[in-house]
Amino acid sequence: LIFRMIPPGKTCRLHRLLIRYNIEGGNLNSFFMDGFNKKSNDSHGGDNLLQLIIVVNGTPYKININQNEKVAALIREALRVSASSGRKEEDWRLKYNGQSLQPEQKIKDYGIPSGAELFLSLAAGQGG
Amino acid sequence: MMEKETTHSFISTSSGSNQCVDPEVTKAKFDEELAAFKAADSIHRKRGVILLDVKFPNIYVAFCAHKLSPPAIAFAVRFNFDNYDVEPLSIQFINPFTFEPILVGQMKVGFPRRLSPNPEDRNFQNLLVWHNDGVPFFCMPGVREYHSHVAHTGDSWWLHRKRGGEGSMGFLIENLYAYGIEGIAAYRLQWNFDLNIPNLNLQFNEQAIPL
Repeated sequence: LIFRMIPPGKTCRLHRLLIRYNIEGGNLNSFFMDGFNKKSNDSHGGDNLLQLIIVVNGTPYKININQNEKVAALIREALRVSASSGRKEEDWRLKYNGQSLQPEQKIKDYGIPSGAELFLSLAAGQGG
Repeated sequence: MMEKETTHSFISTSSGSNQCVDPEVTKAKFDEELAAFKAADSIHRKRGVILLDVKFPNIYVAFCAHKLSPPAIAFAVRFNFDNYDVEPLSIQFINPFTFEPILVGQMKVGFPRRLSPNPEDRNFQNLLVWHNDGVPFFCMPGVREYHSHVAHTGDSWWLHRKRGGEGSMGFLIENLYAYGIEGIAAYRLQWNFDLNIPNLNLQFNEQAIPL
């Protein structure tokens, strides 16, 4: 339909993109999904997107998160990805470079670079 | 540090002779925990947590004070998986070279824990305690020696078992590191009156000791 709407001899950006995808063996679905994914990344951070390694009780997981999110959101995401259930979020401690991160603070407040390793551990019960 | 009374032998809790769980089950869980550790091996190593040896049902790990110069092996442990995870893991403090069990007098780390969230409060409790035979243990839920101790019979392992990973080897390593290594800031040299061999201890930064 789009091709028919464009006069012969004329092209537009969408037209060229469609042709390119067709030539390269892609399809309309991948074309639109690529666009969606780009938009999705932008709306979820773009330059603000951090790729972090969170070590949950000794096991590492890769987490993508917007640095404008709060630390609590990062803890929640790490617990989701690692399927760590059974304990409340408040029972977990997130550390970066030996410093405990406060859940209500934003991630960017701690100047954490992409690729950094953080440690999420369950708080120890009373002992001694 | 405080001494705790005990009614059982430490050795009998980790001898491996009382296996009642199907060994294949324990071995599968042993392999799973070991694989999780190895997946983060380089991360552990950067923090001074080094795998020394693996001989089922035991895993031997050294914890180094990596911020010191020269770095020091602050302590080493043997994780024992007998009956895991019907029973929790056993942690035995060992000599990192001979793997022989050590006594509390040979430990340089007391595993201090902050008792108040107020950073000005200087009340700490050591998580390293010992039986009346001088064998030290890490006194925390998730450790076999804690749950088998007469003082903690009301706090069953089954109340903690693997909830959020509590009691897993990764959980125990994180806590051994947090209370035993993270706060070490410097060497502390003490001279004896007779000026013989100086006593070299590890100095903790109180601000870095966790709750």
